[in-house]
Amino acid sequence: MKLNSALGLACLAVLMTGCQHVYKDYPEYRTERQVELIGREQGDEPVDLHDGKSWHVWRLDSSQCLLDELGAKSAAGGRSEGIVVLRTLFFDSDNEETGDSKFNSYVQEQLNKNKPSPNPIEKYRADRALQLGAASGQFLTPSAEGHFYAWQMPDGTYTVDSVSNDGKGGVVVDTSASASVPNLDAAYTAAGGAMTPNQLDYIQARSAELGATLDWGELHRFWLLLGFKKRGGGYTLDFLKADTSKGVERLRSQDFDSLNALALWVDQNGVKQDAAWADNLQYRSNGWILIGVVLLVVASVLFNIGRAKGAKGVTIRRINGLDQIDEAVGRATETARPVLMVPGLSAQLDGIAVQALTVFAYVVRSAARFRTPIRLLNYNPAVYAVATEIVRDVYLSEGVPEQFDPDSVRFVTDRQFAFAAAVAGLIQREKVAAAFMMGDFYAESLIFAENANLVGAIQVAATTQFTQTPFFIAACDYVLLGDEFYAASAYLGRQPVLLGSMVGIDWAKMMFMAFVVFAVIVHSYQMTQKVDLSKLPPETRANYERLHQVYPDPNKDELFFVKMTKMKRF
Amino acid sequence: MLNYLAQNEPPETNFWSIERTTDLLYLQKLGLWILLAMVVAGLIFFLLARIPSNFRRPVVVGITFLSGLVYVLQWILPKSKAADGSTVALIGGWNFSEAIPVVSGVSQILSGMLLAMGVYSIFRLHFGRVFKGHKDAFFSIVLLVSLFVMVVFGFMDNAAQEKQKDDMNLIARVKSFRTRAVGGNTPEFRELAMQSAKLVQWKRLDLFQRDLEEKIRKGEKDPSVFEDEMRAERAKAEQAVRDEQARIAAEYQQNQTSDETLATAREGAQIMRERSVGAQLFNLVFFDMYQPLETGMFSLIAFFILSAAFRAFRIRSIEATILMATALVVLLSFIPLALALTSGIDPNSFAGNFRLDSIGNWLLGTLNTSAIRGIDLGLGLGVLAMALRILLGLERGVAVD
Repeated sequence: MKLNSALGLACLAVLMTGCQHVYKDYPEYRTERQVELIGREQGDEPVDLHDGKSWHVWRLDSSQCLLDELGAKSAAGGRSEGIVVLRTLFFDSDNEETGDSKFNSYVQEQLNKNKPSPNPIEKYRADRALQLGAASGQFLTPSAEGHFYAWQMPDGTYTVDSVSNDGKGGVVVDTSASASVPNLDAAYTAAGGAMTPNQLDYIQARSAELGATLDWGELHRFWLLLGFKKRGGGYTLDFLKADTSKGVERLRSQDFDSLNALALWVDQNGVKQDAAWADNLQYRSNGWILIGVVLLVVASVLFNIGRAKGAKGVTIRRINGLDQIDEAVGRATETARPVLMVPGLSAQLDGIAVQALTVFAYVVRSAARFRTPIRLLNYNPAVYAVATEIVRDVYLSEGVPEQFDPDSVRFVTDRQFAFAAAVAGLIQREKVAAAFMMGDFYAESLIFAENANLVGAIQVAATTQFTQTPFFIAACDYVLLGDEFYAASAYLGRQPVLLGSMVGIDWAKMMFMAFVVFAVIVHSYQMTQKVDLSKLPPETRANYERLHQVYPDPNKDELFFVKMTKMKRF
Repeated sequence: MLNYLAQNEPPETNFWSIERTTDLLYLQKLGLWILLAMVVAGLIFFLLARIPSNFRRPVVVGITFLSGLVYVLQWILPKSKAADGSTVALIGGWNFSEAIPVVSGVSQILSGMLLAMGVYSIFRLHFGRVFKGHKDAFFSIVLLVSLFVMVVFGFMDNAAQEKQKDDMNLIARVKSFRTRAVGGNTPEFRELAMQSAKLVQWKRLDLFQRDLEEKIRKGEKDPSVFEDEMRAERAKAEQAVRDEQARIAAEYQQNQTSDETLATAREGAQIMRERSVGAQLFNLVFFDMYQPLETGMFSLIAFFILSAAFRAFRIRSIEATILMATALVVLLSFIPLALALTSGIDPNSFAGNFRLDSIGNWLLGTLNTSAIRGIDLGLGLGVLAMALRILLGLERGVAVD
């Protein structure tokens, strides 16, 4: 065992028993600890922390080091008895590529944690007032970096500072960029006046409600932070969702004792200056339509399940590929050759593999009745495990458990072409009579299908990878297209619940078809309309005009239809 | 409880992650947790196996529903995203995005355990064949031997990788200490650098020899100069090794490390990995044997496409004839010689619509794409219905019964 490991054990023993060795003073700690770590080189000098703790770093022989966190041991009367090791941290090797050191970052983090903020916001205001000799100061308006603060000078003019957060609760002011303006209106103009009317309304209403004045703020793309200074002392921070087109909405509000505490909270809670918050982000790109459509489809499925359970029931059309299962198994029985099943190359046990196994259970049931041998070859061990159980259960439920051959369900390999070679080899060697390929298939699909064709097997295939569907169509006898695969269990089982869900999906399909037709009509009508720029919202109009400055459209006022007739190509 | 599981604001140490302090302490804590997890898992398996068969279905459906619900809620509950990539939940502080890695981690662990079952299946089948004297027993032996060889060589290669990682860590640590102006040169590093100095020079010598042989083969140099030039280069390399080793020794004495030494050590560690027996054996079986076989298997597809196309395009019915004609046009639209037939037509004229490439693109972009989108839409709806049936326990397939 390495010495450092032994050392680690020793530390562990000390930590676990809770006995703390007390050193009289720091030199004694160094000497004794060095004896403990005999043969080690000397450690770095201790680094003082501001909370009174100190460290000592011991470098170990190879690429590791040990950090002792030291503290004072106090006796009953508060008298110091000596130094104790509060905690020992072990740092492993650095990152070989980037050279990042966990040790270095730990030290940096600790130093940052304990360092007082260099320029707290209240200190800035006190210092800057003295520096400028200003009569008074006031908050102007929030900005993306922080806020603008205006100082009234003794001569009546104003100096506008742009105050931004430093990310540690302090502020950064670039005084060289400060502007001197004659009056407060000019100060607002210098600050850019970024607030919209609805934001200003909110500030006015809220100031009246709290009996406070606005003293701090940050304005970002989707959100606005406002710090109100209350008359009785203390601050209230409002966190607003600020959508320029819809107005503002308060998400939360919090009280603070001081402005420094408020700014620190904003920093510590990751409210970063460059953060572009997107609320309801999953609804932002598609609005509520996406979830609405999904709920509509779900409702349609559930409603039809209910309908199918009723006395009337529902009927579904025939699916050729599934009707052929019994025939394929029958042919295998006649020729005494096995039935091959491949549940696809799913990377994990997913719904597709489960669906394939559900169909295969039906195939196995038929095979069990006719005592036809089966081969179920798996690409994924999880699918293999489930398949084994399913096949065993089917034989059990058919009352012929002794017919179940554990070797008939196999895990082959999880390498794509090794799997393809193994399946192709089995097809050729055992001359399978029927091949069922259902699930996720990729480039190997044709290898399976063509090999099965070579030995004259009946093939039924279904894949959710539509790039492989043409290959199966070209090479197989029966192919389940698209969602027919998912309908297979419903079709085979003929249970009302499953049939109902199929009808529900068909309703959804009809809904989509109707929508496509509707959209084609609406879009075509829209294309025949003149572009009336005055009716466009200002932002869209600006975009439109900018676009046509770059790409001039000489016929923009013409009807779309006229344009069409002028075009030589369609 | 949900908040706890969702880990809305994960503390540094929590149920899922323990504090990493000293390596040993960490390992021991981790060991205890793993042991505890195994005991709990064993208990759960025991209880599950004892469930009466008529209660099994509710248990399976219940677990499936709850597991699926995590994903559904994760998708449906409104959440915000800050520019730094962190996600913030807006309702009740339930941020299921944080819980997803935990849920998928559990399923990964289960899959890992199932791999052992897969390997057991291979062993049972092929050892069975060997012991029973099956007619294909020879191939089973080949498979089993390959399996063991791959595992052993894989571990050997991994060991070489680990060694390189250790060396690189050592180099990084020495570099890191150097920047803190406390030296940091250690006996291990000196040893690595000394060895690396030799390896780097020998590698250069090898490259020089290869280059020289290439030039001789091309006739750029006379074969008679080979011996002399090699001798001179070897002497140069030996001198370079001596110089570098002397520098490394001196640096060690002064407890310093230069950039050159660090670079040499880095290159040396890489060469050691490349030349390790493990890496070479693994490359031999994987890259030199397995991959060509895999490529060969893949190339078979070209022939299968031909034979499948031949059968599919036989003219037997109206549909097959249309299919054949369409396929022919698309095929021709990809052949430059065929394209030359209609290349004289001005693409911007009305007749340009009847160029072969225009027709081919229209068939692929309009007819084919719309058909595929239809299938895709059907697939999407099918998945939705299946997921709904499984989630609500309506599916009475074998997987849930």
